[in-house]
Amino acid sequence: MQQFIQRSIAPWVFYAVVVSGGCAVQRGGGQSAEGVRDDIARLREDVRAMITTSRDRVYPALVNISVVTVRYWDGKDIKGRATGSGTIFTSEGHIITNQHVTDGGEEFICTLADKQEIPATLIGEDPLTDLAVLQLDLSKFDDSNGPFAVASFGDSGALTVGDYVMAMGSPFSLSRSVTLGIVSNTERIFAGGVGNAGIPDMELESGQRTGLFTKWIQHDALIQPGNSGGPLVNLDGQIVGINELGGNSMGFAIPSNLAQQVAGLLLEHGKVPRSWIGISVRTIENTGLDAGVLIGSVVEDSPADRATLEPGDVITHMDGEGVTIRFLEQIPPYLKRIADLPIGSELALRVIRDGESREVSIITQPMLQDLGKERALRAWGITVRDITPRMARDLRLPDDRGVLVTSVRSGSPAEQARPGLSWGDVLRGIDGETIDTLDDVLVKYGAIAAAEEKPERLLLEFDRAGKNNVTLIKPAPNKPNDPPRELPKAWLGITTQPVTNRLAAYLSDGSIKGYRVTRVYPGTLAATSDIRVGDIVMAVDGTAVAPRSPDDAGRMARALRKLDIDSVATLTVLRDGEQFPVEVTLEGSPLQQSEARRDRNTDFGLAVRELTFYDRDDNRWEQSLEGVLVEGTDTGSWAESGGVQSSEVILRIGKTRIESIEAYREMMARIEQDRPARISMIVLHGSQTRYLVIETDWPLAKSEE
Amino acid sequence: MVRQMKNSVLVATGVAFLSLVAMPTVASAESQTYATIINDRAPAVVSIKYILRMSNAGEEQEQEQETTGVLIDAHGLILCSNTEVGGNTALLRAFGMGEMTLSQSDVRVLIGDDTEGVPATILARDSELDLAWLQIDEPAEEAYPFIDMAQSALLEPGTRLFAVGKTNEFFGREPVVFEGHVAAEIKTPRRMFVPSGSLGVEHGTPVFVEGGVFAGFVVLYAPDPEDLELAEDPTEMMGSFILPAKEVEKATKRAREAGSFD
Repeated sequence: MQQFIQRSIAPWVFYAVVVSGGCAVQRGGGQSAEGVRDDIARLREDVRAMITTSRDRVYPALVNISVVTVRYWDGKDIKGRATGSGTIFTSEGHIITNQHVTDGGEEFICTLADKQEIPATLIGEDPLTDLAVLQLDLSKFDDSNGPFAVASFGDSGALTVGDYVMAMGSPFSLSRSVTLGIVSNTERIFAGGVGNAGIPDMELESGQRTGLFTKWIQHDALIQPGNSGGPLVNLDGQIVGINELGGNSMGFAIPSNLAQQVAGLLLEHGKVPRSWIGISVRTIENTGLDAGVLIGSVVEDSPADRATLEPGDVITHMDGEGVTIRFLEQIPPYLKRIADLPIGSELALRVIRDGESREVSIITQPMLQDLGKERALRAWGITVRDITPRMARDLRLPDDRGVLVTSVRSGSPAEQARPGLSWGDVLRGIDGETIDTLDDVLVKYGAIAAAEEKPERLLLEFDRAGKNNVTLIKPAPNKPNDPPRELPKAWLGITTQPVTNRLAAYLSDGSIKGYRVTRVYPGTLAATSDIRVGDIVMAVDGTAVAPRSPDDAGRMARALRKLDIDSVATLTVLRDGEQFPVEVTLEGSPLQQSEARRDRNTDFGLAVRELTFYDRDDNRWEQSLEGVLVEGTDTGSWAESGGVQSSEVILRIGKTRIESIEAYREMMARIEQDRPARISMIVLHGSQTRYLVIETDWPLAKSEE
Repeated sequence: MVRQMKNSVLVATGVAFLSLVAMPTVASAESQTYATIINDRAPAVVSIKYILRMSNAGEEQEQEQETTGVLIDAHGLILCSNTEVGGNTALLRAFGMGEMTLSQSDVRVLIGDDTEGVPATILARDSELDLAWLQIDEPAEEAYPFIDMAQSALLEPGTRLFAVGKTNEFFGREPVVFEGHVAAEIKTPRRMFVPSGSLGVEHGTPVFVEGGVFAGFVVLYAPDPEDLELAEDPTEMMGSFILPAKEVEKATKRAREAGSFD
């Protein structure tokens, strides 16, 4: 009873006490005002204690999950980052979270309550319920302050509308927060709208179906992106849901009873084995039927199809028990009942068609995986996916052999081939060898990539729209060449602005036009001459350089470029009202940023280029500064993880000074050969020098090339 | 009256006779120019294919591109428009894409009816003049047909012009002769000529006068870095022009003396 009051009535009691207490005070009768205030304070304290106690049973087991993901598009693998939440539910360090948090993940780092960052591995995923289990690497856990906390599951079936619940997680990647709300609905499903008697397929970002067996717990404890996978907790301090979706002040959690079942199966099998017979069902509302399960569709060549079931048939009994789906909320548990049968079970159905009843026996099959694994064949510029039987069926392919081309990079060898490959092609053969699976492709691709001598061309066989084609592909694209140099031209180390009529009136007697010197680059020959900022250059070697308009900013520089490098030019200069000649020696134009040589290292995910005169000047670095300029790092790469940032200058790698792009290339080639576990760098970041350590992970990188 | 009419008829007949005699001469000069250009000059006009890689803030994109260039010596030195081989970064800055970088790979030159192409390397560029020079990596033993820039003609407004381009791959990369004239001469920012009609459409094409004499090269003028700094509308500073043959020859000589072709 006490528990009942605490969970459900406390707030109303609180309100009633406040109101009645106030009335008592006003009426001047009953409990004294002070007594009412004491009651209110005690009640407030009790509620607070209740919340903190239940919070403290789960909150310490809450983890933030940071994921390095790999996605496949544009003919390559692209790393990214994702974050989510999870809860430790075993003393072996197993964590329950959403599958869409772990989807595509290749590295998982969990931040625990005591701030320790522990790597984790994926134990198993179940996209159909959007649940996944990770396990902490216990060898990396420092238990000097005791073991980590473990949370327990509660009974989500006992929840009622109005129950208090807390949502815990990492909204917007902020670490560890708690919000409080109530249960709004215990069996929420997402219907397809008016006139739709079935539940439309929900899909994860990957295109994988989900939510088939779920009736969500809807609540109003605020959740945001980042809360995904985090627990929904009751006032007994138990996990009653796994938060999955949210928005507009509504949250939706997967019930803990389903989550606990799936977690157990993932721990046991690494996946969730399910039965399947190949039907979809719909409600009997507005059909004239009083009872039964109405079959909405039958999959071709499924157990149901082979048992001659048809859309429109009505299942009245299943294994001797009467079954009816009148409302949408009854669909998920019905489908789950079939899915939970051991694979290969015999299902006895009584079916009615056109008023006639018959008995049907169906042997269940394993539920098919929707999507196959995907990989990038980066050198060829395509991504490919294993074809599952379901994909073959949906794409109307003759069988599930071969791999599906899922993206082609523009300008890649695959696109340049004649005919070029396209999305939707099915790769059937490489170099005369038949390709049945993704593993076949990766073995062949890896062998070609590892070969010292690569063939000039490779023959690929592929199917497109039912036709079998062949094409030739270059197995390795050429790396971009170092950009050709601009022809050096005569250059003076100054910048100028045009002095037109209007400006001339203020700067001189109004008749003088020319180019006002705005900067003299230090360290150049111009700096050693007599030219000064503020001088107005009126002529070059006796030829007037008068701008026609403010847009004519380049005229003087063009006049200088017509002269020879190392020649001496005489500038007619106006300074303080006096005209006089200034001799300047012209030097060769410095390297432009666009012609700087570049290097892109795919192992480290690092793009650098030569430092130029203009880089040093823009950043007010000494012209004697040597190094290479970082242009960018790939998301999720070693370089990014190590803290390398754009616009930094790499000064040293290990003990080696990086004086030039050649020195950098030599160093990176040596590192590729030696494969150290980590490298250190000294970089210049603005005016600061920083020390960075970059950890490597060589086997993973090598497998992609 | 009759005598006057007879005289008029005689004069008219005489004029007509003279016209008939004169017409084949005019027609043959024009067809001679066309013949010279198609037979002697067009073989030096080549197609250049390459992969252009555009990088911006870590994102990369590649595209196969094809443009036109012209052989300027017997050993495989080719002249083309710097813009058309992805070298015009001023153009990027003019359109507010100054952070993007461009690089090229898989450069191949297709000569005559060759459909595969031979590898080539871009050796040097002059962004100010919109010129770039390529060299065939392994030149053939036989001399290539080329345009001799030392034999060139001067241009002035009204000069009749012929430019040579190519149809695209689907139509067999056949030489196409465009005809027009010099519409104007400009002296700022440098001395260039404005082509009429469709002559300026294809940058990197050579331009000839009567008799098939080389007269210039179609380029895209883009603003210099100094102009860009203070420009309100950089697109007002761009256009297609003919760079006179002498300028092209001078630039090539400068590139050679700078060791760019070594």
